[in-house]
Amino acid sequence: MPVLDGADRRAPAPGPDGDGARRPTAVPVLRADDVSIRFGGLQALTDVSVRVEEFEIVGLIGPNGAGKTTIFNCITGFYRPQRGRILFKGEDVSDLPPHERSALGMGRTFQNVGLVKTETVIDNMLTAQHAAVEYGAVAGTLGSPPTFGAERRLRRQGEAILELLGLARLRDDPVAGLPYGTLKRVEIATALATDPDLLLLDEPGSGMGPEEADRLGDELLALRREFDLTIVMIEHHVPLVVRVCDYVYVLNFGQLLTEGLPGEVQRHPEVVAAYLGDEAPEAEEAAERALEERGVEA
Amino acid sequence: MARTLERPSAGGTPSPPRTTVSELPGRGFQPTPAGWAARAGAVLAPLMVGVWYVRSNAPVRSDALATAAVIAIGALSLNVLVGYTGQISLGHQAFIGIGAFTSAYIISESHQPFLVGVVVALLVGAVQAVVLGLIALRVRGLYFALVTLAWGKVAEQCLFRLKSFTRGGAGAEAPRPSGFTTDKAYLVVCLVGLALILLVDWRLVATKAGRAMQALRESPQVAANYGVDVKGYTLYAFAVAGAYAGVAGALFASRRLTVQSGDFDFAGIALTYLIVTVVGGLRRRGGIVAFSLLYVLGGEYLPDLARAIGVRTIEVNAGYYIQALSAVLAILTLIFQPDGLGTITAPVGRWLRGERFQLAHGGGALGRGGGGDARP
Ligand SMILES: Nc1ncnc2c1ncn2[C@@H]1O[C@H](COP(=O)(O)OP(=O)(O)O)[C@@H](O)[C@H]1O
Ligand SMILES: [Mg+2]
Repeated sequence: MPVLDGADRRAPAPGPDGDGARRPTAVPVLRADDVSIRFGGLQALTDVSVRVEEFEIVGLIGPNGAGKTTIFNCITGFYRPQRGRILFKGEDVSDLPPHERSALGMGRTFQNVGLVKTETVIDNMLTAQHAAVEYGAVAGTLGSPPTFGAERRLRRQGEAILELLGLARLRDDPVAGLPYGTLKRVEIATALATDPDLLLLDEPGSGMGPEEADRLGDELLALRREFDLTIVMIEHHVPLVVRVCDYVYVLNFGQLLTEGLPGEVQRHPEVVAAYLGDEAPEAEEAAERALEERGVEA
Repeated sequence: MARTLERPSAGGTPSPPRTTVSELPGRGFQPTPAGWAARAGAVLAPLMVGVWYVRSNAPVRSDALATAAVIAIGALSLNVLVGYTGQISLGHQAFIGIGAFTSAYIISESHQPFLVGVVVALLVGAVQAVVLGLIALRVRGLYFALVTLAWGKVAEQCLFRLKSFTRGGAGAEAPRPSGFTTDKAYLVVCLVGLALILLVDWRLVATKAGRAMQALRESPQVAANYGVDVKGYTLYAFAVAGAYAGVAGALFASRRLTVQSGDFDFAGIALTYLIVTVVGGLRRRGGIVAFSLLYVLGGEYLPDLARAIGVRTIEVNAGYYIQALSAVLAILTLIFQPDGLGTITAPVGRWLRGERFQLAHGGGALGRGGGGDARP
């Protein structure tokens, strides 16, 4: 795995340029084209199209039940949409099962935590590196000598990622029993261990207070740099979305309500009505502050 | 090593102190020389008692010990399915029996050496298990359990009565390898077989295939998200379980010298091995081997014990009492101590490897945790 070798890395060049437009590239990392899916009588997604450029952090927001998790499931292959295509790094992956998409470089976290709970944190980190393992299953089972060294390297890699996320002291803890906010962070570590190019985070900030969510924002920006990541995140903390995202899609009732730069989207009247609801004024203020902070940083 | 994360300074809150892996507690524990000596003694003493006992003219029950080794391998096979992968087999008499008759056929009909018989039994065992695994990909839970039950019965009632394969009621001959025809010598063969299976099982769980199985047991979604081919590794688990069972069957056959269809019934094989697996402890290889031994020695020595205390019914029905007792133990295990005998053997194993002696250790077993709740 190329990660954490200390090599110099191209600084990501994400985000909007001066006039607020997005710089489209010939081959976006991810393209979902007119994705539609229905469950029985429920049309969960209708012609949803999403485009994510390299090194962007893209936000996906919308009220509960809007279909955000469903579009993640279509992207990662857990659901097969009835219509539409998913292109990953220019390749049509619509017919690939989830594990093959994972191996191609899609990393993902689940809204309600996707970890092997009876195992320890480090064992999860090892399992998550499955696709990168150098030896075959049979060679490993028969104890062929090179597998011992390979296992040591997997462990070091897993430990290095844990250290990077400040989770090293949890290494030998069983996953069951860790607090929810910690689980969310451990899950990001395992997703990174799958060596993704694209990281899909389903509500990474849930269960975190405003300060923790703030730290998460810093961390995501740093991780993007460190791992050359492109990130899509579903998130309800609007200030977090406004601060770290380069572009935002808003889903409502299975359809795209609007898309655009965080500042624009946030002021969109329908978004205010549909998404922010009663809390609109307060949330808007918080988002406004976040936007200012971001301006200071830039 | 890794660079630390650059944190944008505008982030405000200072980052918490970072623990590095090398600073972790517990890593540095080293037993004292006396501690190591105690560990070496704990390994060598029973080994020497065992060697002395087998070499002496004491009434060695080599055949019983060989049986224990065979049961241990069969139970380890079930452990791969039930313990690691979360699948079930209620038809293990088919797994073991197919291995036994295959090996017998290869040795006495095809006139191949014993070792060839074992290897072919291993391969055939793996193939028949994979066929069952293909069904497991389509039928789940209780329904799949019924399929395995049916598979055991079909093997028992039809396959093992095929005269050309099993020689019908007369039984198929399965001679022992030359030089290992006595019970004591054949015990060595069985112990070598068990040792090899234990080595393979150790590497299985220490490498990617074992981790993949354990992940897909907990949550197929999480496993797939980690890049694990869930279908592929389910089949792999069946192949490994079938291979172990094939070896157990081959050793079983030559222990008996002849095998008949009646040797492989549900109660005698499938249920017994399942109970041994559960009481020994799912995913607790040491506990499984230990309980195999206790199970067999219990059956061997219970009559003597019953005679000594003068309980005649136990003396003559010792086999039934052991089975009933084991079944009760299995139920108690499932309710109170999901790790079974592994509750004791696992800490001892860790201690022998140079860790502190500590009864409780992370990592759950059956019934605990309940698995990842990620829904796609
Ligand atoms: N597997 C499924 N079967 C039936 N309905 C589903 C399934 N998955 C999602 N839905 C429905 O699709 C809608 C969108 O859900 P979801 O994508 O989870 O929303 P959210 O935007 O909160 O993540 C909901 O009404 C949900 O009940
Ligand atoms: Mg959701």
